[in-house]
Amino acid sequence: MKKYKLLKELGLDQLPTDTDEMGVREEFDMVREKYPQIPRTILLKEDVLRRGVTFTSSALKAIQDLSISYHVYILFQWHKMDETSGLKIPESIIFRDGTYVSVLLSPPETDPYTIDIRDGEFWLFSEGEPLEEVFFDPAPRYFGKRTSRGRLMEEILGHGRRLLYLIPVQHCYYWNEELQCKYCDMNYIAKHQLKIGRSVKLRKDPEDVYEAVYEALQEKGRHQEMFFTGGTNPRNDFQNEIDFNIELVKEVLRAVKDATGDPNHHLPVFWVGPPLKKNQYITVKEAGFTGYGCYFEIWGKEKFELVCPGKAKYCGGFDGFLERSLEALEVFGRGNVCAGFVPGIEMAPPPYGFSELNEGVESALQGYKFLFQKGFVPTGTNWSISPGSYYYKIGAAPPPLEFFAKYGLGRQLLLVEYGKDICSDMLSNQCYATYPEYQRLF
Amino acid sequence: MDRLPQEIMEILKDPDTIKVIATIGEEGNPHIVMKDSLEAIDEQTIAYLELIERSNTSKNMLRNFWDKKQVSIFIYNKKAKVSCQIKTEPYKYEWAGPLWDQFLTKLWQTMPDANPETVWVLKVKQVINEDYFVRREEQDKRVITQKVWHPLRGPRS
Repeated sequence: MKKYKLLKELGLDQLPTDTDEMGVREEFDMVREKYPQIPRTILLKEDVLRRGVTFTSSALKAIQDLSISYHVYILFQWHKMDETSGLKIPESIIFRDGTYVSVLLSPPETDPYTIDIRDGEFWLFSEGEPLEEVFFDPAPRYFGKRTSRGRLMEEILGHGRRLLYLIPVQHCYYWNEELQCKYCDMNYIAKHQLKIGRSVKLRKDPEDVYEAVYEALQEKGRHQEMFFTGGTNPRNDFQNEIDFNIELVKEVLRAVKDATGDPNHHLPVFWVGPPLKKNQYITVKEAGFTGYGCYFEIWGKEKFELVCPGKAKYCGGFDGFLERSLEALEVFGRGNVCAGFVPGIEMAPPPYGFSELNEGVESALQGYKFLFQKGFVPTGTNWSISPGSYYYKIGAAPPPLEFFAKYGLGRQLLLVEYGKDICSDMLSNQCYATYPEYQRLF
Repeated sequence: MDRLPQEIMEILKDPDTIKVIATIGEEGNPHIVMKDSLEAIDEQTIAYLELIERSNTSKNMLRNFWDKKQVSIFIYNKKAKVSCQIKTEPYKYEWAGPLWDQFLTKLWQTMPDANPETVWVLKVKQVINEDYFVRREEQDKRVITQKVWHPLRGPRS
C-alpha cells in the first residue's frame, strides 16, 4: 500500500471505499459517516457540484415568475437544455444556512439531484427524499436594464453574492491552436450561443462596462468586490490582454467614483489572468487592480503540461508559470494573490489524472501546502465535465464523492496550519467550490 | 413553541433595552455578546445583523444551526421592568432580499462605514420571564417545600 505523507499527517490517509455497487444516497451516507468532521451542507455542496441538478417541470415553471439571478453565460454546464429551451435557469441555489451552490444542469446519466416545488417551497431531492429547502439569489436591480448601446446589462456584467464579475473576452486564443485546457468549454459554448441566437458579446465594450457597473452600484451594499476572468490572449507576451483589461478597469473605477460620489471609495477588483512579468504586474496594480489570480488548474509539472498545453507553451512550462506567479505575490502581497485549481481533474483518465484516489488528493494537497506557505490563498472551480471539453469527448466520469471530501477538508486544514492570517476574501463567495464554506469557520 | 408577547416585541424596539445573545463555541463553551440590532420580525421570528465576517458569534451560529442547538437571547429594560430570556433556533442566513435591505438601511443611519456579513433569522422556541418574583413563584410551585425552607425576606414589589 502506497504511503501518502501529507494525507497521513492530516489524518486523511484512509483507504478509499469502493462505491461501484453503491447508489448515490448510500455513497453520500457512507462518506458522511466516514468523515463526520465535514459539515453536512458542505458535503452536500460537493455532491451537488459533482452530480449536478435537474428541475421538475413544475419547479422550472414556478421559477419563471420569480425575479432571480439567472444564468446568462452558459459555461461549465453538463446539459444543453438551458441553451435551447429559452427558460430562465437560476445561477445558484442557497441553503438555509447560506451555503451557496452553483446550478449545473445535468443529464440523467450523472444521477443529478432534483429541485422540485412543494407547497410553494423549493426543495432539493435525492432519490425522492427531500434534503434541503433551497432559495434563489434575488436578481440585482441592474438586471433587465440596457446600456445606451442597447445591450442587456447582465450580458455585460455577471453577478454573484457580493460580487460583480466581468469576462472581458469570451474567447481563449489557446483554442486557436488546439492547446486549450482539457476541462474547458469556453469557446465551444460561446460558438453555440452565437449559433442559437443567444445575445452574446464576446469582447466587451468599455462604455458598456462603465454603464453596467454604474447601474449595479446604485443598489448600495449589494456588490462589494469585482473579478475579471476570461479567455487568454498570449500575443505580444500577454500585453494586448493587459492593455485591454487596464482600459476596462479604468472604466470600472470611473464608474465607482461616479456612482458613489466618493473619489476614495474602494471597490477591490482582482483579475484572474495569465502569469505576467513583474513589471507587467506593477502596471496592472497601478492601474487599479487590488489582487491577482494565478490558475494552475492542476499541480505538478507533468500533469500541468498535459492538461494545460497552452499555458505551458506560453508561460515557460510549469516552472515558468510558478516563477511568474511568485512574482505576482511580490507585487500584490501576501493574501492578495489566489492560486486556482480545478478540484477533481486529478481523477481524469490517465495520463491526465492519477489512477488512485489518494494519489490525486495527495498531489493537490502538496500543491496547496506549498502555495499557502508562500502566501497564496485558494480559489478554484470544481470540475464539471462539460460538453465541448476534451474530457467530455474522451468519456471522463466524475470522481467519487470521497475524493472531494478528502480534498476539501485537507485544503482547509492546510490553510489553517500554513495560511494562519490569510483567507480567500477575494472571490469569497464562489458557488462552484467549497473552500468559501469552510472559510466561514476560519 | 412559544410566541413572543406583544409587550416583548415592543420592548425589543426600545433603544434603552439591553439585548445580548449567547451561542455555544466549538469547545462547548458559551459565548455572549450585545446585539443592538435584534428585533422581532413577527411573533415567532427574531433577526439580527451580524456585523463582522467570520466573527465568533457568526461561526458559532453556523455550528449551532448544524448541530440543532438553541441560541439564547436575553433582554433587559430597567424602566419597563422587563427581564426576559428567549430561546431560539437559528433558522436562516439572509444575505440578500428585503430583510437584508431593511437591516442595512437602518445600520447605515448610525454606522455608515459598516460592512456587515448577514442577517441571521431565528425562530422562537421558548420565552421565559426572568423577573425574580415571577421565577420565585414558579419555583415555589415546582418544589412544594420551597416556601417552607426558603421563606421570602422583605416585601414583594
